[in-house]
Order: sequence, then structure tokens, then C-alpha cells
Amino acid sequence: MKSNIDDIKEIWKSGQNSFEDSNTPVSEIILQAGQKKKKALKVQITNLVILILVLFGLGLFFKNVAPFNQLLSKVGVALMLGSLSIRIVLELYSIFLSRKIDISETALKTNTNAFTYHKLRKFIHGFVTISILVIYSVGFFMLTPEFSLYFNSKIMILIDLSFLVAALIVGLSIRSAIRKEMASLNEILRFNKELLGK
Amino acid sequence: MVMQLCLGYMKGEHELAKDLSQEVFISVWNALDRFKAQSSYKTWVYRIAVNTCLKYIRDKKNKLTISNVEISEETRDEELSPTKQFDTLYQSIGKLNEVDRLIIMMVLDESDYALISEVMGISEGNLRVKIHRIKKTLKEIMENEK
Repeated sequence: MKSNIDDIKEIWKSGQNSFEDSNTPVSEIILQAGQKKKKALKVQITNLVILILVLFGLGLFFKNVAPFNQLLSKVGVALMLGSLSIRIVLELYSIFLSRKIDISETALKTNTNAFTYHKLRKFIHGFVTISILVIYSVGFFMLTPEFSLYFNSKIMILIDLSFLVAALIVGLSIRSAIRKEMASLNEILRFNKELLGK
Repeated sequence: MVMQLCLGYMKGEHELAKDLSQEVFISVWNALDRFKAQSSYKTWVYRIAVNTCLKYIRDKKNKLTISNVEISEETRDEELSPTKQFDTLYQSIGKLNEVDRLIIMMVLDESDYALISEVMGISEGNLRVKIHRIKKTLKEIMENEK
């Protein structure tokens, strides 16, 4: 095998001719481009829609089905709905930031922007979501004294246990999301080090 | 240009390279309305190709299984068929790190240093040093395959 750089260039050049007939039709690329754009948008919108539906569902439930009278319960409802609202706003900001990453910028700039984005995602998935989960849980448990006026203790235990199971599932999904963001951050850092020769 | 870049980046794995090159074309199409004519089309397409390649590895790191194909006795022969020569070259390039792979492929494509520096976002001085080192490493890799 030739190892001189000019010889390597020759092999490289002769390799270019072998791709002439293997191109995908332009119409198919355009079709796939449209589908990809829609898919990316769908994933982001779906998360947002789920959060908004939960917020409205809870709001309607507390307004029409279980209107609370005690101050403690009212504070609890405010904590639950407020924490969910903050999560929705942050999700929107995250979508806005992801759209700002321009892949036609230089590799270094795109990598740096991607780093900022994933760092924010890590913060949202980590500290912010955990804090929101804690505030939400505190809010939920603040409802239990008034709840217990209408339900017997067995049902109350069931309600509390099911909440704890749900919180555990959310906790596990937070952990997996943080790991994913950490992996992306490490890769971006590695690419930046390679780029800058550090 | 794009397909060959992807092939080198994916260590000569044709199916993965085809998938990646399609990803690049899709990204180019979706970014068309952002082209500001501040750089040439070639630089612009290269930037998208390089960024898509880096993102592809980042996103699919755990799912990708690129075989680290050892170069066989047959491919060590001096009289290699052109196809074998390309494959050996792509596999040798694949032994470099991701960023070095992309830079050396632009060099092999005879892109000038100003263009490569504009694509990667590093100074020409830094690039020169880098290219010198990459050429040396690639030469060593290919000599070891002899």
C-alpha cells in the first residue's frame, strides 16, 4: 500500500469516480428532508403538549372535581401547578435554543453552541426537574390532610403509595435523561479538544 | 465529495456512509434558506457535512457498530485492486480521531487551507501544525499496513 501523501491523494481522486451512479434521487432526499423536519418538530411538540395537558387536567380537576377549602391545600395546589408551569416554560426555551444551533456555522462554533444547549438540557433534566419534582411532591402531600377528610386511611395509603411509585418512575427517567446529556457533553468536549489540539 | 467524506469517516463501511451522506443532503436541504452567500457553496456544504458527521457519531455512539476491520494479507499486497486500495485507505483514515479524519479528507480533496480553516473554525496556523501531524500519523498507519 502506498503511503506517500501524493500517492494517497491519487488513490483518493480515483475513488471519486466510483460514486457517480450511486446517488439517491433528489425527489427522495427532499421527501426525507421534509419528513425529518416534521419528526423532529413532533418529538418536541409532543413533550410540550403532554405537559400542557397535565397542567390543564390538574387545573380543571382542582377547580371542578376537588375544590379545596383549607389554606394548606390551596398552597399545595399552587405549588403543583406552579412547578409544572415552570417546567413548560423551560421546555419552550429549550426548543428555542435547539433551533438556534446552525449547522452551517464552523465546526468549532456549532460544537460550542451544541455544548451550551446540552449543558442547559442537563441543568433542566437535573437540578430543575428534580427541584420541580420535590416542589410538586411537597404540594401533593400538602393536599393529604384535606383529602383524608373525605377518604378512609386505606385509600389514603394507596394514594400516597401510588404517588411514590410514580415519583420513582419519573426519578429513573430523569437519571437516564441526565446520562444521555452527559454522554453528549463529553463527546462535544472531546471534539473541541481535538479541534483545538488540547 | 460528500459520499467520499462519509465513507472515510465511517471507516469504509458503505451502508453507514450511505446513511450518513443522505443525512448530510437532508441537512443541506433543510438549511438552504439560511445560506447567506457569505462563503462559497463548497465551504457551506463542507461545514454542514462536517457538523452532520460529528453530530451523527455523537447521537448514535451507542448504537453504531463499526467494525475495526483488520487489513487482510490480500490487501497488504503491492498489487491491490482499485476497490481494495480505496477500502484500505478508508480503513486507515478511520484509525485517526474524528476531527483529524475530516481534516485529512478535505486535504485529500485538495481544498486549500483557508477553506478548511473556514470550515473547522480554527486558525490557519493551528491548522497547518495539525495537518502536518495528521499526515505523519496517516503515513505511519499506512506503512504499518505494508
